[in-house]
Amino acid sequence: MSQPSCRLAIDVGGTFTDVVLIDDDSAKVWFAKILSTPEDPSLGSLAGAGEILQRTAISSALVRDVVHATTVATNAVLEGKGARMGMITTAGFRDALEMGREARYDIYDLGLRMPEPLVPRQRRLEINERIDFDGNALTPLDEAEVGAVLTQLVEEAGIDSLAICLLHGYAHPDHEARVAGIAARLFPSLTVSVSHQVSAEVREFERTSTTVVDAYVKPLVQTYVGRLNQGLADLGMRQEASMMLSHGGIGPASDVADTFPVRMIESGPAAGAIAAAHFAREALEQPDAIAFDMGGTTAKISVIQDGEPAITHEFEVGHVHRFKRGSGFPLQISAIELLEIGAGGGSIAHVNDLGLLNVGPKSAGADPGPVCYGQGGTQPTVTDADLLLGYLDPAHFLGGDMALDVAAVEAAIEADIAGRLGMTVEQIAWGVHDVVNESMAAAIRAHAAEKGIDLRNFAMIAFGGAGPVHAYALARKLGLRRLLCPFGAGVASAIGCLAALPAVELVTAHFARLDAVDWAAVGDHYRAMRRAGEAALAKLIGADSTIVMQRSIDMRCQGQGYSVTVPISGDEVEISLSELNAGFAEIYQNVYGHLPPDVPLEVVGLRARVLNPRPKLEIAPVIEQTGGTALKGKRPVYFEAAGGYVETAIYDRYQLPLADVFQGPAIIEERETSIVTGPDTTFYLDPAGNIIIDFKE
Amino acid sequence: MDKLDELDPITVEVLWTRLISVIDEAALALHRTSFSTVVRESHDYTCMVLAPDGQSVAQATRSIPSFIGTLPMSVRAFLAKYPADTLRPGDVIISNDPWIGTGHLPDLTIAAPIFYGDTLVGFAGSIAHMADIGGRRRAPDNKDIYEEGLQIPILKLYEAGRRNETLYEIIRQNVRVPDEVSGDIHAMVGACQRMSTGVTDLLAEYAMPDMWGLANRIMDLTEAAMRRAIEQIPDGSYSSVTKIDSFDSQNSLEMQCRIDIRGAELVADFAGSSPQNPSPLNSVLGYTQAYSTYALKCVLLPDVPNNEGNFRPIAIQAPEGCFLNPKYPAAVEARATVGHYCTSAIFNTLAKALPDRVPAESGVPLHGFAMSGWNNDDRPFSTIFFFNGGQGARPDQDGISTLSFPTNVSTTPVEVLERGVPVRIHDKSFLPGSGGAGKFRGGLGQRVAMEITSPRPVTLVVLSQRLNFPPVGRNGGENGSLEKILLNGDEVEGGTPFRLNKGDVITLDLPGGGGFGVAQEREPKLHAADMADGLV
Repeated sequence: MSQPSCRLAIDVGGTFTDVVLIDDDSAKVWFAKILSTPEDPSLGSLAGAGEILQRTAISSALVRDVVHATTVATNAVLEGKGARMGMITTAGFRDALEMGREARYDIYDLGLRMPEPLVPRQRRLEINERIDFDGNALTPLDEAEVGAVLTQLVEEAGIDSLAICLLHGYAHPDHEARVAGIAARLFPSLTVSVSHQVSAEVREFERTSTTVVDAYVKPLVQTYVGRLNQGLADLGMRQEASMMLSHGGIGPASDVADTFPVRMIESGPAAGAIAAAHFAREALEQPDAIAFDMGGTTAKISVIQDGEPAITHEFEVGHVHRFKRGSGFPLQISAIELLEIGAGGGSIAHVNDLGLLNVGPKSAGADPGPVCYGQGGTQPTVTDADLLLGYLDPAHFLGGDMALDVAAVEAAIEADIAGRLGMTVEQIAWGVHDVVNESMAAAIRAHAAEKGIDLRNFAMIAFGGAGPVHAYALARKLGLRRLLCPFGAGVASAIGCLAALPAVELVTAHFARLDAVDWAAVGDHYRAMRRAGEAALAKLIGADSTIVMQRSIDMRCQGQGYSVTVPISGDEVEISLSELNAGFAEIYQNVYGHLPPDVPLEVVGLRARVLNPRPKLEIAPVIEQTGGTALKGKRPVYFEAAGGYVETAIYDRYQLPLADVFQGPAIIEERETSIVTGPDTTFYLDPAGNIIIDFKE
Repeated sequence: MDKLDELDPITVEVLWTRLISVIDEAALALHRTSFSTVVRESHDYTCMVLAPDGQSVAQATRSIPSFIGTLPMSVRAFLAKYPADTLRPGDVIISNDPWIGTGHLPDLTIAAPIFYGDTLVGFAGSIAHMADIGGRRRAPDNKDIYEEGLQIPILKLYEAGRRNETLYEIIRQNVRVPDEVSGDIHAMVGACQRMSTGVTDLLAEYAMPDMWGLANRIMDLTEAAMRRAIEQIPDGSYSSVTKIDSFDSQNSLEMQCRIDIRGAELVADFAGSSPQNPSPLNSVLGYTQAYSTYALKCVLLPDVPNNEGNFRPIAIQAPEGCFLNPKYPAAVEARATVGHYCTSAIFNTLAKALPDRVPAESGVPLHGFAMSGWNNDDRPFSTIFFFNGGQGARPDQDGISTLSFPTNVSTTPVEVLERGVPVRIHDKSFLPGSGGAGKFRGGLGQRVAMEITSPRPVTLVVLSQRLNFPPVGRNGGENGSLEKILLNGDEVEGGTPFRLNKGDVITLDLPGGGGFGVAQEREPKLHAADMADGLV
């Protein structure tokens, strides 16, 4: 029998669980969407897997891989449902976790709140030990004291998960490793997270926070993955699940759960960005794009450059104020960089205290939802405005499953807003669309500035229920020239799971002036990281598979607090100083605009991404040739570029002929969303099933 | 010009959002390129776009209160020396004159005219705290400004795009860390260029001839909102006395603060406060105004972005010659040490008018360590770093422990600090019992114990606070704790510079915030949680 050729992806979202099955030999795909089961998400996942196998009559023995994306770890933090935790730290530093950076995330809010620490003070215990930044043990570890403290935490405080975070442990892990060893010996069933393994980077608060989140979600993730793998085995799968990780690679789910589950905290959103990167590589000549995913309550942005999503090494989870940086738990791990904005279809429009029109961040969510759903919503939302502008068809929303109430929206806008501002309902509808787009544009511009990219050379890839409705006007604001609405956008995250490669991200702290680096030691570090990476991937890909190591070095001007990650070409070749200098200068100038003269450079960390390259994902688009016409009809639709409402062609996406170039304005309807495009554009369907929209010169 | 009157409530919102995003972009770039630890870790900088007459139109979202309203004053002074019709594209004006700026020499203020075609449409301004400005660094016995460092009068740093090399070399020669300082100036100029481009792009896109239409709407709407907020306060005169430490333990400083509310206007007057003193504990009027306005804005109108409109219905006064409005050439470097108390004074006064809306006093203002000497590898260093006391209890919840207020300086991570400065931190933990008891408890202060590891002596100035006057509680809440400084276990006074040798240990106990409401009304489960966590 030939090698099994099918792969299955399961993405668990808040409302729906998406399942995609692909036969890599024929590139055929099948989609399924079923309701999620929040109480135990593995139930929905397994039901979805079972359903799609039954529907396609494909034997589970033919499934080579199951790739999974889940929000189970994030939700544990958000809902406070993680482990009963304890923490061991250096004497004098047990409050580092709660002190944080000592700064306010909003300087005018006297009532601001900080997240409750995941380990209360009474379970953060200290031991007498101290290592200085050079690695000298100033106070040796007292193993008897460690045993006593552990016993107190486990037997008196009843903890079931432990974080070990000692000062300067990122570079000098000896004491941390010994404490972990003692814990394993005394309490073998206790789950333990150790700071130098979770996040080998300087800054005690951020590293401790990362380690604590890791330990907090670990027992729960282990249970979850255990159930999932058992369920897959019961379905007859031979392979355990692999897990989509925050950095965009995949790893064996059980290993992730047993080692550092914090790495899967952004599993779902990372999968979406990986899908966008896949679409960019397949459909764009120069794969530089802004991935724009707009749903009911939030919009998520990620930047794709050269076909790869941008990676960050610092982000936050569990925000008290969802969209305020500084109000969550910082995590010092590699993750796909995602910008989350409080703007979605459900965002509520209102007149603020100054008499100006504002949109969000308050959202009507799914319940009661927008006014037009007729489910009790009374405050006009972005979706309501989109309906009045002609972007949505009141009769064919969700493929006709839900009729939308236009009159109710007009009445609500008149009562809530138009009357107060002395403007017409139409003006307000456009205003809502424009204001929400401007606030998203502002966030994207700031993000682009931070990264030093010129947006005008980027395309936009739109997905999510509201993404394709807003992408045209947003792209226009940002000066983008091309817009891509991919095939399979409704299950993008699941497609991302299939496009992702098995990968491990590793980092080693290493401090030295660039002109005094011990390159032999650097070489040793990289060899060690390669071995560690190979070991981590062995279970997923077999020991004799191809392995590639991508190296990069964190560098900075001496004295600066921020470092720049400089990629190094090749795999094992010698690192060249001139390449490092040039690479640093290029990135620094891109990000900051100017390079300060005559400042010595220093190395602060070594990074490696160890991965298993695979053939690129091929998907044969399903186009329903029912013999119908693409043009469904016409209706008046509002376009700023046309100065108001214009009679606009409405197309059925699934009936569009291949490669014909159409003129905007147009609405292209599909089951889960509508693609809006204006009079200053043309568009066509490409062979992969994507709609490509180009702005005219 | 008709077009300007047409700006409707939607266009104003869209353009205002855009303008702030342009400034935030520039501020972000400044933050990330800066060399000074203070700028980087403490956000001690700002960016702003101003109207052609110096009124502030919009400011970066994330900057500390020190700069509220100071850039407009600086730009007006710049215009007095270099009238608008003499300015050319590519000009950049600089000064660190405390009396027209932020109140002390280490802060550089720069501004660049924004030209749209041939029209001067506004100014891009930025301020950042330099790592050094020469002089006797933070010496508490400085008697006048000449001892405090290099004074840069209003001068052009760039003239039509060409750098003023003479001025540049003078600055480099007069600071201890010339590379860091010139790197930061470079970053500030870059930020102004970004703002200029952003503003002219916006004008072009919306076909506006200048910024006035938008600027006036932003400022007028904000002014109207501030007036409505002031109208909510009962008319009357309210007053309070706030006492603070000076560097001389025998003599405290007194802030007399009176607030008069008449309809939609508010006047705060510091008449009767202590005279200016022969130490750097003097806050120039601009700085006094910045922190007073900040306190008012927090209580009255926290959600509206900063611009001139906030300040139009508000007057902050202090008679010339008092320590809140000193005369040149007073020493002013430690203006933060006293000026931050303007927030306390305003809160203490406003609480009499709005007893249910004003929090208790915080255990901060600023506690800083200014340290200089030679590093372990024999490089000279000069730095300042901060640790924070507890926040005052709020009307509806406890104060947050170890939180910077009213400024917003992050603490430097211990692991980073020990790599850069020859110290070893032995302890950095909450100080149990330091928060004032109350229905809502004051946030806790902290203990920091630090050992010197450099083989050569270092000079340390502790910017001490609250050695004699604790943060007061509100509405029956108890006071927070006092600050204490210990040198090798013995209690000492702050103020004078310490010359410390290897092995010396300095310990700082920082105060917690005051409590709010009477302790008997505290929910038993909150008290039990405090006991279990060892916080009281």
